[in-house]
Amino acid sequence: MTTVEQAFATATRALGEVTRVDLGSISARDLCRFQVAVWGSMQGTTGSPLDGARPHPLFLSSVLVWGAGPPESDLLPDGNAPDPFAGVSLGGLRLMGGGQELTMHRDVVPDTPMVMEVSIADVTMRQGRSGPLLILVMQRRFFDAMGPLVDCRETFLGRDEVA
Amino acid sequence: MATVLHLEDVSVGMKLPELIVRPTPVTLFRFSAVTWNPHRIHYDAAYAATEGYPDVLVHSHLHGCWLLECVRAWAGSEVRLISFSWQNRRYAVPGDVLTVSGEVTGVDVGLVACDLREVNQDGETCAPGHAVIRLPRREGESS
Repeated sequence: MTTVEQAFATATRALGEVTRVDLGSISARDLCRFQVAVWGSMQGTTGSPLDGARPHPLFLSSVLVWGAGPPESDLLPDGNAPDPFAGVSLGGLRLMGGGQELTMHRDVVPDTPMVMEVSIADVTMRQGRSGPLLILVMQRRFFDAMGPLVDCRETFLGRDEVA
Repeated sequence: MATVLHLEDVSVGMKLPELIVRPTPVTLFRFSAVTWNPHRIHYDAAYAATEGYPDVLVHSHLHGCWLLECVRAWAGSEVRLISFSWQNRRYAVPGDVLTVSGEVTGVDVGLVACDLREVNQDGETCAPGHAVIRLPRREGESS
């Protein structure tokens, strides 16, 4: 069984199971750093991200590892955390982000505790030109005490590692 | 970034001002750091070569951010985003020159829909996207 086939079997078993993760809070500084990083390569950006702008809408759905994350010795050879999707092991796959579909409810409020609900919304496997291809759709919903902040469906493409 | 666009300023077919992005290794490193993304493909060129790429890769999420910046730069960063989506079609690396463009495709009950596109210097589409925003009306005007 290939790594893609193993991951497909694991993800299929976990389909629809919702894992709830406490994220803690983020600071205004985190949000400003994100905006600065996004502006880094853009021509013509002026002003400061502190100048009253709304928090960047893609901050929550762009963060890959919440909390402190695993120690370096536990990272996979490609650098990824072994369990980036709350319970589904994708170690050994070459993963690529395929894009997101987002529904925005409210802005993130700095220093406010948040929760994320993660589930596998869909998983398929097909034969690509370079071998089997896993297509994984993750659903992440972000909340704070006032209710939903962002709903995100993100597609990931997984291939077997190069031999 | 403090410009405020109003619904009355917008019509279907209107082009959004283009954004030019020239990603650098520093850009990618800082985005990895701020999103706590340890994937080596974004900061380790030797590793990226083992997967067949000519250099470190722009993050999927960063493509999305740049598409959205095209909207925010046009409508003002105070704009209310209702929904947003994008797909990653082709990778980009430091040294590429990426042009982000957009066009208004719908205006209805306070909402404005825009198709977005990020292309590289060879005209290849790296990421198409779609955004729906809510714009304020000018004072004294109503639907």
